[in-house]
Formats: sequence, structure tokens, C-alpha cells
Amino acid sequence: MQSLLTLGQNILALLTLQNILLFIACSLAGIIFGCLPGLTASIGIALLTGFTYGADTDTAMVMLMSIYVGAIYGGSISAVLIGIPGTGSAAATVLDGHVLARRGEAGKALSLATVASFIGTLFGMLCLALLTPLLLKLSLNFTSVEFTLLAIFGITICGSLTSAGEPVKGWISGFIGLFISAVGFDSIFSYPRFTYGSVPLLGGINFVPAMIGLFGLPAVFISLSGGKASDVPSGVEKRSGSVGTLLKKHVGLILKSGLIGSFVGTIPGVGEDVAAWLSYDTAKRSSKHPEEFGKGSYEGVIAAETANNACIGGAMIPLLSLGVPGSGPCAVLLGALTLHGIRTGPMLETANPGFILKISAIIILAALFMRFGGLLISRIAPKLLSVPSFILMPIVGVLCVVGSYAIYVTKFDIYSMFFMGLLGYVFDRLKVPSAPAVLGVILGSLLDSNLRRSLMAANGSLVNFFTRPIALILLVLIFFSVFSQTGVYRRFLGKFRRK
Amino acid sequence: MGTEEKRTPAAQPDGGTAEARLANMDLAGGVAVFCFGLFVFLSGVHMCFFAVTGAKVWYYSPGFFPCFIGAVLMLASLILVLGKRRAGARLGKGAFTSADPPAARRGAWRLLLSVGLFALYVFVLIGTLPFVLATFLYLAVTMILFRRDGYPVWKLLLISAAAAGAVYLFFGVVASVPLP
Repeated sequence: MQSLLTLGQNILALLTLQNILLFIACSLAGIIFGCLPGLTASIGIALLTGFTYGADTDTAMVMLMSIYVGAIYGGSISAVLIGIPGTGSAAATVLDGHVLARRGEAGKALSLATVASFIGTLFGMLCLALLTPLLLKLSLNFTSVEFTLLAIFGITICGSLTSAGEPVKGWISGFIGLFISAVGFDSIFSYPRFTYGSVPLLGGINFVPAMIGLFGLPAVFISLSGGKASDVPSGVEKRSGSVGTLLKKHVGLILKSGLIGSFVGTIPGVGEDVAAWLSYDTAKRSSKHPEEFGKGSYEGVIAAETANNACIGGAMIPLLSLGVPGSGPCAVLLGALTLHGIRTGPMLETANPGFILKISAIIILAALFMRFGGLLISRIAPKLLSVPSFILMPIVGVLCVVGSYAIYVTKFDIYSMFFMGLLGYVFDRLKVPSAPAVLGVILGSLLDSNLRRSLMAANGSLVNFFTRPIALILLVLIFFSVFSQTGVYRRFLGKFRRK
Repeated sequence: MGTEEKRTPAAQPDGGTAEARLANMDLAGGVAVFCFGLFVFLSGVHMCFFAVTGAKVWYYSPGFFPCFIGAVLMLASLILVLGKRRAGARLGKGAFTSADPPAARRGAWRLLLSVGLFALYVFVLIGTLPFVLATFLYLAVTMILFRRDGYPVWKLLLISAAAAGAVYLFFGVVASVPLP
């Protein structure tokens, strides 16, 4: 009851004129980012992070969470209208949403997606508010051993789940990210590593330019080197029909999808796209009309859109309680939190009392503004989506430059963003995911110092990794996240299923 | 993972299908990552045992983390390389040739041009010219060179000027974000 009261107070406190304007502007920006193919929630958050540097933490969180919630929803607009998911998380929405649009029900599909995303976001927020304090209590028992294993687990699971079928590429990406974080003075002895006499490199490669480069710049190069245009419907019908009745009919599906989305979000590094697919698949299996899936099923749109937005709150749970992001955009958000002096993990509530409820309040308001912004943007989306990439992408390139320069005001950050962009492009061509690399850059210093401290505490022995209960659980999880990707495991699973 | 690779038609002399080409590129990438991992590992060993770092024991040395990264990179790239080899991927002449060479060449030129223009903007224009002018030049040239046939140049010049001005006004003036 007290928490509910505090949540209400937080919501009221956040409703200042400045915040309302920011909620509106950033939700709209997020939706636009999400609906433009090639621009994702991660890119949006990465670009905006640089600009929030001068703002206080609350304002920064209002901006970043609004863009996050807006972008995850925004992906559904292009998915419905042109059959191209604006973000990976909307890929499952294409299957039915675009079919609905082709048969003249674009407005209905978009309304369904908007309301489902809104409910999903609130569902995820509820899980965040309820589960994070519990996990925080557990994480108070963490020592350098657990933090070491947690960072390794984050990278292995993120690598496994973000690389389509080839986890080894994800792991390579994660460890390249760790290498990038190792450049510069080491955190314990200030010994310069991989600097080769370069003074700017002594300070290391900052993670904001690195993540802008890895996520934002490749989209510019890819689009300019061979982007293709797609057919956009000239308009969306104004009367979207019985959306309310449809949603009432599928309350069970919404709850199930919300749960799936939130649960998937809590697994470090997995993210909204997996949540949407898993929810879509489950909805199809449990539907009375599975044959309609892929042919314009309302259930398909509801399942995918509820789950991908519910994943936002879920992904914030490990981020806030353990310091390990639950999704790609959360990895970028972790960078932003660090930038604003918020240390996520066991000491979060001690150092920043009430932070979880404040974030929950921000998510509620962001969802609300996303709901209304969505209705507005879906009307003008056809025009927006017809902006040619040769106009849009160079402007994104300029924003990458401004965003990387804004924090430390050094040209070196622009240069490192450029080289990270080239690396991101190579990653994209080789189908290597960038999210593990960003996670590696962010978790690198945590892993480095804790790995060495844990060994020092045990005089070089690995015994602590096997004798502490939480460490043992994490070791088993790491082992499983790697082993489950091997042929041996799949063959074993196949035999087990046949039996 | 290597053990589960499907056999791809990589053995075709022209690089075969897009998947075969990707498999060949993965093989090349795997070899490169292995070499890089070896370099990181050896650098770490040097820091652990030969450099004066302040650490009294090797596992507390600044080189321990690079050793760990290098070792994992070598192991992971080895898995990738062996898996791709088993799947029929190969290096050598024609391994990366596209099935549609003219389109690939066009794509490569467009890529080079987009990267080159951005590099010019980042390394030369910014710092030499005022930010707004540098941004206008980058935007205008890029938009004009990559424009769709028939798109009016004057419109692109107008859009570039408006975009450069808007970035300056919004970020530099309203949001007080330092601009390069």
C-alpha cells in the first residue's frame, strides 16, 4: 500500500510542464525512431544519451525511458504499414499486421498494436516494481566472485541468444567488446594497456561513442550502400472498429503474453524480439484458430506487441538489481545510468532510495504518452515512411557525431565512434550481433577488477567459484548457456524427445 | 556452433550462394579473430611476466584480463573456423565473389563513397570549418550523390541547409549541447 502511495506521489511529482513536454517530445521521437526501418530503440537511446549529459538524472530518465518505450512500440507501425519491422522486436508483428493492412484494416491493426503495447508496458512495469526489490535483497550477498560470474554469464547468454543460430559469433562479439574496454589505464594499477604511446587512448574508449558507433553508424552505411524502397499505403482508415471488444475477448492472451514478455526480459541480454516471437508462437499453439496466424490474425498482433513492450519492464529487473542488462537497449541504458552516476546492482536502493519506484512511475507515464503519441503518429506514418533513406541517413550520421562529442567534448570520441562504426558494419556483414560487444564494453571494467580481486582474495585459487552457493548456480548457468548451444546437447535433446 | 554446421555449397568456384559466401567470410573472419586473440593473449602474457606493472603476482597483474580475453577469442574463433571448414567453407580465389558481380561492385562503390564522405566530414571538415557549414556541406554532398534519379537538387540543398540549421539551433542553442 505504501509502495502504491509512493508510486502515485512519484507520478504526480513527475508531471511538471518541462517533464510533460519531454515525455511528449521523446515519446514521439521514440515512435519515429522505431518506425523508421534501420533505426532501432538502441540507436535512439545511444544517440540521446549524449544529449542528456547536462540534465539531472530524473530528466535524463524521462527522456531515455520515453524513447525506449516509444521505439519498441514504433516498430509495429512500419511492420503493419509496409511489412518491414522498424525494430527487430516488431518482426513477429509483420506476419499478421501487414496482412491486416493489405486487406484494408491498417487502422485496426495499428490500434490493436498501440493498446497491446500500452498494456504490455504496464504489465512489465508491474513486474519491475514487484520483483526488483526481491532480487536486490538476494544480490546483497554478492562478492567479487559472483560479480565476475554474473558479467561472464551476461556476455555468454547475450551472445547465445542474439546471434541467429551461431552463438560462437555472439561470444566473439562480447569478448571483442571486453577487449575494447581493456584499452587504456587498468583500474587497479593504472597501467596503460594497448595504448602504444597514444595520449587519448590512455583514458580508454568511452562507451557512449562506442555504442553509438556500433549501433548507429552501420545503419547509415548499410542504407546508403544499398537501401531499398518499399510501398507505403497512402493513408490509414480513421475508423478502426471494435478494438475494445477484441481486446476484452483476448484478456487471457494479453496476460499470458505480458508474462512471457516480462519473463524473457529478465534473462540477461535476450530482449524484445525473442519475447515477441516466443509469445507469438505460444499464442499460435494455444489458439482456437491457429490456421489464421500469418493470414491476418488479431491474436498474432496482440501477442507480439504485448510481449515486446512487457519485455521493457522485465529487462529492467536484472539491469537495476544485478547491473546486467536484460536486453540490447537496456545495455545502452546501463551506459546512460552509469553516466549519470547511478550504480545499478546491490547498492542501488541504498545509494538512490526510491529509484525503482521512480523508474516505474516514469514507465507508466511514458506508456501513457506513447499511447496517445502512437495514435497521432500512425496517422502521419505513411508520409514519414516515405522519406527517402538518402535524406534521412546522412542526418542520422550527423546526430551520431553530435551525440558522441557531447559528453566529453573531445574529437577523439568522434574518431572512436567512426572506427566503432566500421567495426559495426563488418559485424553486420558477417551476421555478428553488436549487442554483446556493447555489453562487453560496459561490463569490461567490472569483470576485470572483480576477476582479479576474486583470485587475489583466494591467493590465486579458484575454490571460491565452486564453494559459494550463488556462484555455483551462476557457474551452472554459464555452463548451460554454452553447452545448450552445442550439437551434443541438441542430439541429446532430440533422443530424449523421441523417447 | 561448429558441430551443428550444415553443409553449404561453398565449394563452388564463384563463391556460390549468399550463404556459401557468408561461410567463406566467416572462415576468413575466424582466422583474423584467432590471430587477433593470439596477439591479445601474448600482450597479456608480456604484461603479466615481463612488464613492470606494480602487481606482485601474475593473476593480479593488468595483463591477466587481456590473457583471459585472448584465450577465449582464440578458442571461440577456433570453433568457428573448424565448424566452417567442416561445412565446406574455403579461402582463396573466388571464395568471396558475388553471384551478381556488377551489383556487388556498385554496392562496394556506394559503401566506399558513404564511408569516405563521412570520414571526410569527421576528420577534415569538422575543425576546419564552422560546424554548421561543415554539416551542410556533408549533408548536401551526400544527399546529392546518393539521390534517386530525378530528385531535384535544389530541394536537397534546401533540406541540407534546414537540417544543419536545425541541429545547430536545437542542440547547440536550445539544449546547450557542445557542438564540435
